Amino acid sequence: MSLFKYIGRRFVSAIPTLILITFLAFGLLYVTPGGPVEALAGIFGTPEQKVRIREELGLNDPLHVQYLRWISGVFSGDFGEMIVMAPGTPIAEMLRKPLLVTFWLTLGGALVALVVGLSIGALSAVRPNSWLDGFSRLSSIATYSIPDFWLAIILLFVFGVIFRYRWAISGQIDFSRNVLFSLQSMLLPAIALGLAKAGIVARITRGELFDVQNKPFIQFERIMGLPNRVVIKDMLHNGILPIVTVLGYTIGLIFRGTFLVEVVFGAPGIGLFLVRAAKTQEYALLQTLVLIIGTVFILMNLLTDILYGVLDPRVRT
Amino acid sequence: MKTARFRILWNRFIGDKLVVLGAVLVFLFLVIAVFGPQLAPYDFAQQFRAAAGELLPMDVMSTTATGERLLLGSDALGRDMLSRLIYGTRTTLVISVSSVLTATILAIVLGSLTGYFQGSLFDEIVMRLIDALLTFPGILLAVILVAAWGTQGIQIGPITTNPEMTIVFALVFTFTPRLTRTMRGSTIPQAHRAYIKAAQLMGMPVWRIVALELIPNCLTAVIIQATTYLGLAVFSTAGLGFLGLGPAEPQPELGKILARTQEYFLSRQFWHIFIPGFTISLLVFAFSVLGDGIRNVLDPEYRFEEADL
Repeated sequence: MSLFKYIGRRFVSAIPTLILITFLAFGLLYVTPGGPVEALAGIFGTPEQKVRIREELGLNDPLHVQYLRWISGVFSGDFGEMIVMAPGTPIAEMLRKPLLVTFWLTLGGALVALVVGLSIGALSAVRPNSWLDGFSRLSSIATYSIPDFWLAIILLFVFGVIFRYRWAISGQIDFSRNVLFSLQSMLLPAIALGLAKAGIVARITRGELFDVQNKPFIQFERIMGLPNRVVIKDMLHNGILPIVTVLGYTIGLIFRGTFLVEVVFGAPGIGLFLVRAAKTQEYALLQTLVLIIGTVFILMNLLTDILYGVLDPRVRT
Repeated sequence: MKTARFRILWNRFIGDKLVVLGAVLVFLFLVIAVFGPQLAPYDFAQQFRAAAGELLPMDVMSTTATGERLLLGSDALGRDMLSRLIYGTRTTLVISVSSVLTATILAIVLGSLTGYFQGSLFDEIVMRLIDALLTFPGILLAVILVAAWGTQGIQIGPITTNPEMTIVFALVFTFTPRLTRTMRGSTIPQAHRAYIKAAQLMGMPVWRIVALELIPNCLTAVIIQATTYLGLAVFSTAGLGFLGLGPAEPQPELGKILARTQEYFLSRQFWHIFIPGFTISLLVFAFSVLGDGIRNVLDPEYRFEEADL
């Protein structure tokens, strides 16, 4: 199959999932205790208010009409308005900055995880059973166990409370305003996020490279006396696919971690927003977040699949 | 014959020191959870006052005004930290174990049915739904669900569940899709085997074929995955508690206790930040090492799977 056709097919196969995500986001309002009216009116809502809310929301229409109205709003960029946290503000506007903050944090975390993980993994593959190899095994187990939010608290405690660095506790990440300071405040969250996941990356990298090293064709190349750079290139070519998988998967883990770490550092990203939305039961916001997060993850899976197809033509069949 | 096989498996299990450590730790935690009320020196909600001129919440081995000695000091509200940790471990364990157990049972039923009726409309619908749920990484879905349901408990008809059940439900939702997929995967090759065909030809009812013939032969993979998920469940429960979406006060929960340690920042007492986080880590560590061990015993060929943590 040609690459173009492969990509097209992947795209089409993602559509049903995407549609289901919109159902999930829409349905969220209806699984809440008491339904949307209770949720919007709050505990002090009078019966008259509830009737009015019912009419305003168009809840007397059939379900599919309501869904279509909501989804057509979404497509034109209208996600509804905030009701509890900042009444009347359009959600699309409220979300722009948090999305950026989370994006930068995830990117920073992924960078730390990749740089640390890949280098430790590659080094311990070259020297198996060295102290570095032992350390890499230990750190990958630690990765399983140490919650990133705990690591974040410890970092915050050490740098913010004991050493009293101002940037350590600010959580301000806004590249349009102060680039240097933003980078500084990103440092600790990115380390908390990345370090906790570097072990996984290291472990997989080591396993893959170690395996490839002992494969007959690489040993054959060595016996033939091919120059090192050719051998390494072929090794990477064969070992890269599982590493790409880990990459996509690690970014997912880090994104999940940003939620908790943002709360620790008070960084105003999606996580902090979601938690606030959860506590104030800001339903329209929750719906939008479900929609956005779901779409982002579908796109990311799609990207990993496509990258696969580019790197390994065998996958395309 | 059977004992010989068991001995091979047992030796494989005992062979890895790390796994034995994990098993011992899990056992200890289970003892703490089961005998929590007997082990805890004080009630988890009882508040103490400091002796005159002392700062009670800040100190390890502190003595209260009424003469009790608190081994790990107290939290910011003057409640005994050790007792809260013991009860917290209990809460966290109960929530995680019951959610994984429920999810596994659900997954066995759903997975075997979708696998048996592979390609049917039922299979299509369930698998699409699972795909959609799988796009949300673990704890995120749980956060969203707890947020939507609220932390007051869910009303199902006339019954209102207790608040902890909300978390269990949310976790069940996050674990069931992956487990179902695994179960379905191991069911499909079995469903075309001769013994199933024979059962069909004998005119056995479908539920008997699935429940008595199919399921017992497909359990290994899903059980392996379920044990590795126990660690993830502890992580998610603690994460929810940390975000303030856990059980309500005064019920202690490890993640919640950890979140409150940020109140100790100004006192600069490191162990108060250290101890609850370390407990969570130890618990997750014990479960994941044990899960890995069980997987190595039952399936030595295993390497790495995407949806693990």
